[in-house]
Amino acid sequence: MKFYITILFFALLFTGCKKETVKLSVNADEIFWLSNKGADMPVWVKGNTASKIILLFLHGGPGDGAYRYAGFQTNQLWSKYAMAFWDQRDGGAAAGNNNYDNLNLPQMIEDLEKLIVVLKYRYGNDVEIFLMGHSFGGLLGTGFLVKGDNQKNIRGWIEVDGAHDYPATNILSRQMMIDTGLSEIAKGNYMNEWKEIVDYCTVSPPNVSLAISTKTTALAHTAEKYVNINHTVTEVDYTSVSSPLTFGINLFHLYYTSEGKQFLQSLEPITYTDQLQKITIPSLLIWGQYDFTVPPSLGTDALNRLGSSYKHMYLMPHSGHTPMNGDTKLFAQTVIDFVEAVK
Amino acid sequence: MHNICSKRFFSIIPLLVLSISNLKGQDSLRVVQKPVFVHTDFFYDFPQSFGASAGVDFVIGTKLKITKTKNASEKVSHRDLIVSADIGFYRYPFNHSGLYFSPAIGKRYYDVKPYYFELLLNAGMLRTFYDGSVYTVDNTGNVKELKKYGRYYFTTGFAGVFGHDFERSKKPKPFALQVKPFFWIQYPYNSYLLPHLSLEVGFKYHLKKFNLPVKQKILSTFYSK
Repeated sequence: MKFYITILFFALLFTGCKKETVKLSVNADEIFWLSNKGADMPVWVKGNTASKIILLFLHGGPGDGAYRYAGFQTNQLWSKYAMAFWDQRDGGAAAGNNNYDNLNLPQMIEDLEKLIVVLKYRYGNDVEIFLMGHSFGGLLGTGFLVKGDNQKNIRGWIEVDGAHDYPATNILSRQMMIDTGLSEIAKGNYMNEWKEIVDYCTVSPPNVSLAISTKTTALAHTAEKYVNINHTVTEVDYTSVSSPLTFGINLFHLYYTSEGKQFLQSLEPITYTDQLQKITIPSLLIWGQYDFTVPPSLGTDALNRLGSSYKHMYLMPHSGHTPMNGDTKLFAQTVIDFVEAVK
Repeated sequence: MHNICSKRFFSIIPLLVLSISNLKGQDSLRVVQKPVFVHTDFFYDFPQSFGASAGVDFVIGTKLKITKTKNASEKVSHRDLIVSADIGFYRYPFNHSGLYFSPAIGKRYYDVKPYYFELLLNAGMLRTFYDGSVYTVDNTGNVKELKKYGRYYFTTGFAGVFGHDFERSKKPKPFALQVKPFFWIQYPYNSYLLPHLSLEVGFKYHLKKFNLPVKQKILSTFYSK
């Protein structure tokens, strides 16, 4: 009996010590977690990990969660490559106990640095990682890329309507709404709706408080309804991995409590425009032509400033702030062309 | 003036009622045997967690209220003070599994019919275990895989239980079936709290020799002309 118990003990011991090997697949559908400074952040990996190319999606918001973009918006991409949908700390399905003291941009950049290390550990050092930052993810991704030698681990940078300069975003957003609004009023389109938007943008001082910034963003989303774009509704796949409760409560905490607002306020003055020349890896900028939230002019400015020798910008003709919704096929093809060109 | 008249009129109403139906009450105390139930439940937590739980519940105090009405019929109602303790688990695919311990205190209401209703307040603990591998990276870039990693949370909430006690049916059987919707929160969740909506469908069994002596307070109330 003792003999069998000893064998069982050693079998369990060696099983416990064995490093889990991740099997690469053309149709991966797996989850892992990064635990860092009080936050446990899920990463949902979908698609072709055997391609050894991973597009790491940095969601917007902050707090939007990444899982909602794992459906029709990106399925052409994860059919060809792997996509990693990372829920940032205190967003989406990320969990933890008392961790709000660590909710700030430098900490999120550190989270991203560690996530890159884990992706290489898990899928192999030869895996090529492309960062894809949408909206706030553009700020986070740019902050990561201009820090130290972080770029050495990244094959390419894809900025999608990215807010890498919050003060400039606020100013350009208001200007675009005023210009478009006056033009549409002159044409007789949605005159009352545009007048309300133009009046607010004309009267309110630019970028002095979170309240004004929040209101401006809300108007920018509304303005998309009054121009001729494709309003595909974002489908949230509740039945797979994302809980509306965790997602909702994380968003509520962020946008309706004083500590959440404190974090949002801390983002208001952040700009990386003056550091964009530090980015030298191949870069692709994709913007919705009718994005009033983060206007295309911010992307045009970034294109001129990036230090990359390979850099391109494309406007999606039927899109607002989320071109993977408005121009799904064109968006995917543009990304694929870029990856194939620089991989 | 009008106001004073109204006040007088309304203050007289209770006196009139008391004089018409002279309410009398009589209390007494005795010891009765109350069943200890063991139960097992199917557990669902919105939107996509499924699991099971098991536990025990028993009575620690009971009141029997007998009300005699004007036409000499008798109305009997019971109110038990109950304590329960559950241990359970659930799995939330692609997210985490949870193991919880949830003691509760509450009241059970029933009359001569075999149905019962319970109101329960619970406070317990939840331990989560994340789905998939969990990694942490130290400042020198070393990756460590954390085994069976998750978090501890406090939980608290309230539940309503709707049940059928077959032990009090015409052909008694020693079990009961119940449905238990409940609302609970886990905290601290990201320095805040996370609400839950759950449902349990359970089977309770009364082992023959599992009874507890409990003091029963009898409240007799009757009406006379």
